[in-house]
Amino acid sequence: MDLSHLIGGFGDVLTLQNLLLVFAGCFLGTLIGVLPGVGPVAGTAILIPLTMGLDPAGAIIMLAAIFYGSQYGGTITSVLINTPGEAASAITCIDGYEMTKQGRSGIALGIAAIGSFVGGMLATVGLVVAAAPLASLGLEVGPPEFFALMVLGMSLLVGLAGRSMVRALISGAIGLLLAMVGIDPVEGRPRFAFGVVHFFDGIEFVAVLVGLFGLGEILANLLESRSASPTTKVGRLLPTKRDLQDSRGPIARGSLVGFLLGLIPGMTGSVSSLLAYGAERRFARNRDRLGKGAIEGVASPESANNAHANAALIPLFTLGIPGSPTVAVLMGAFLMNGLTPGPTMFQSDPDIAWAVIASLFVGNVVCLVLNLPLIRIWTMFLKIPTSLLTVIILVFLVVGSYSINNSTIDVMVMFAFGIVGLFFRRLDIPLAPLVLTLILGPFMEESLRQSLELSLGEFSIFFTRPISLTLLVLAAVIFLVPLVRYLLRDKSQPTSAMSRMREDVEV
Amino acid sequence: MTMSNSMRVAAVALVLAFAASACAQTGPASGENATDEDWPAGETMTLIVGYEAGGTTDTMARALAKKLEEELDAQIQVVNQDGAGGQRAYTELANAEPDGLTFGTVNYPTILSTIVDKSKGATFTLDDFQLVANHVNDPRVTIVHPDSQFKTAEDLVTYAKENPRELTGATSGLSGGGHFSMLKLEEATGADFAPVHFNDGQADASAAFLGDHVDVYFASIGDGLEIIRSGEGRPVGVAAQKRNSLLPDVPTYKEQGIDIEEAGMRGYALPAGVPKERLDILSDAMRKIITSEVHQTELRKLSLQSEYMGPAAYKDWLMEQMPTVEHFTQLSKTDQ
Repeated sequence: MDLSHLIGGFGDVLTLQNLLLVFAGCFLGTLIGVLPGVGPVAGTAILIPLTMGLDPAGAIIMLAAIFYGSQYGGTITSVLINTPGEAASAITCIDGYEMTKQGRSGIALGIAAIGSFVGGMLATVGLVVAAAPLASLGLEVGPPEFFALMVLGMSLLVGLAGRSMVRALISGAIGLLLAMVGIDPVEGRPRFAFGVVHFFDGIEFVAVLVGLFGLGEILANLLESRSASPTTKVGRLLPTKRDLQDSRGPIARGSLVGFLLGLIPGMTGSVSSLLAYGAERRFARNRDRLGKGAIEGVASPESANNAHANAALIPLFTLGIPGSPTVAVLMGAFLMNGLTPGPTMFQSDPDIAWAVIASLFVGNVVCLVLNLPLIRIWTMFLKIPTSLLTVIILVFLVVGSYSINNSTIDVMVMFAFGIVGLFFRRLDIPLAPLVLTLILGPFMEESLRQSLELSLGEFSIFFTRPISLTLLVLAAVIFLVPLVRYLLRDKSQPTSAMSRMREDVEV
Repeated sequence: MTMSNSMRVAAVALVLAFAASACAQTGPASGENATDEDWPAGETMTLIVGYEAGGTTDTMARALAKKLEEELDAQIQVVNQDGAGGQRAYTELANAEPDGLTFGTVNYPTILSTIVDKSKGATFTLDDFQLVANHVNDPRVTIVHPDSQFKTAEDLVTYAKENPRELTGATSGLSGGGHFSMLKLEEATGADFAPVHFNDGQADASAAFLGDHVDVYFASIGDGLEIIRSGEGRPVGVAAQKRNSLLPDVPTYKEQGIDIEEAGMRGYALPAGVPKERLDILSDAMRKIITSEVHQTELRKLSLQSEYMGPAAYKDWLMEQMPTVEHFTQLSKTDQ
């Protein structure tokens, strides 16, 4: 490997102008991430005009900085007000918000920034060291492998169940039903859209999540006349040594999951963070703590989504394929500046290509440096008097859900699911399984049907391809082990099924 | 912590929220100075793009918008109303105020297939739009793997005839242009492919082709050019009358004795009922930009080729395609 290109790239980035652009991009990106609904895709697109007039390298460097800056920012509202700033941070709400309730919001934000940094750096190193082989690894994943991966993801539902499997399944089933809304991928007919064009692409899941988590929480607090701000206690701002120790494993696992999935074109960061969270359910040392404010539940998904975001640049640089919607926006920026991402870019415009890559390193450092001191400012948010804070959050929710697609229908969806979220809380139905099935459902259907198109209807396609088979076997094991354990336990206590049901009702 | 500090944070948050909502505003701006000679100077116009930011249509539209702002001395806000294969944006555009300040992108074939496909329940017809200009002509190209036995269109067709449904073909969506080019090839030659639809767009279709999961890729030149240039794919035929300037060495299907044509045609329309003077101003400005040498060079960098059509020619062309699109839309849903 020839490092001279990269060093040259650093030379181009470490100019005052480009450093300022990286800094501005990271800052703007963080702000965008903070707004619920305005995720990386919309945010980067909105800010494209800002970069017009810059030279090509400067423009792309700044947009790239906005892009990963928004990945950092997405966590902030998840942790502070239980509202995902972007889809990939949805699962972080669960433990992140619990941590805030315990006065550990600063630590949650700190570990998210550190995890994001590690994930982002790892992926960028991958881009420099082994971009081409990694990209072809990602291409190995065709529709059957994609489907198997989704099945593996769905099997994590078992791990997300918490106390009551029945309730988890109810939640998961509702998510799958919602995922069915939209145009049938093979027959082209709208399903369950009731003639509303907006629902032809399915129900906007970010609006659903913002409603379920954010508005649901507000409504539940109002009804129980609890204060909407969970606590005014902010406590420590930075993670302790112990926190760091607890997070080491999750950050490593999360980064790896995000990195690998990021290589696969068509996969999104939200899938990565979900699977990383699911992996913690299975592998974390203190897995019982998850869901109750465990630092692992923040560290892992946040590392995953940032590793994913950066790894998704690998197929862009080596193959010219935008691996995720946000990367597609970035690709648009390349094209607008007269660069065609792909293998030929390194021949035609090597200077710019390497300057952008070098800027990824610099940008991740800038984001970390920027985010740690900002934690103090973000956590001040919690000190706003409850009455005012509730209103601000409501404004956030409405503006955020509107700006996903510039549509008032999404605002209505958000309100509707706020009420659903309230009922879920009242009935003690967990939200995580719904998030899982709603996000994975459409991917699973699409890849299932593509696979069957490939095989002309033969289901054997899933079992004759090694990667697909391995993933399916893994899913079967994950699914069956708890089931077997559950059945064995039941045998020893004949009335336990009854008592469990009673427990379900009483909780 | 003092009150003033937290208030400041709250204020910043609010300002931020409103700033973002302002960025996303879609409301029609006022068009009161209708008789004004220098219309639309100083006005804010809205360009509705039916596809997501960063996509081919979006990039094309933003490139034009930038030039149009200078030409008309107006502000242009690009609003992405992506979804339902453009149907959302078409619905929005058809219902927009016909004051000339709101215009939108038009993509063939989806504009027509949405209208003729009754299950989509479109609330508009072609008459609800005032077409302004066609901008881009992006022909379909059929790509096979470089190590495959297929060197020409004939090789491919002969094999696909003798071995029906053995070759899988990636399209960037059901009833889209790529799918149409496959169906046209099948109808013209008797070849039979097994379609695999990547409804999320060309990126997934490209990945499936590069990963060797499908045999043939029914791409557009804009989508497939990088694959061809890097040697990862071999083009066997372009579905156009003439050779394309971006791929001058690749023969058309017509040259190879197969008379098929299919291209992504992308342009702009106003809602119907815009005053003639305003339509003229807008269409003159677009003609000037689209036919200019500078802009054509710019487009080529985006792997696109321009083809200007004025309001009347554009409408005639679309009307001409209607029966064909109706036929292939029907067919696309039955050929699984």
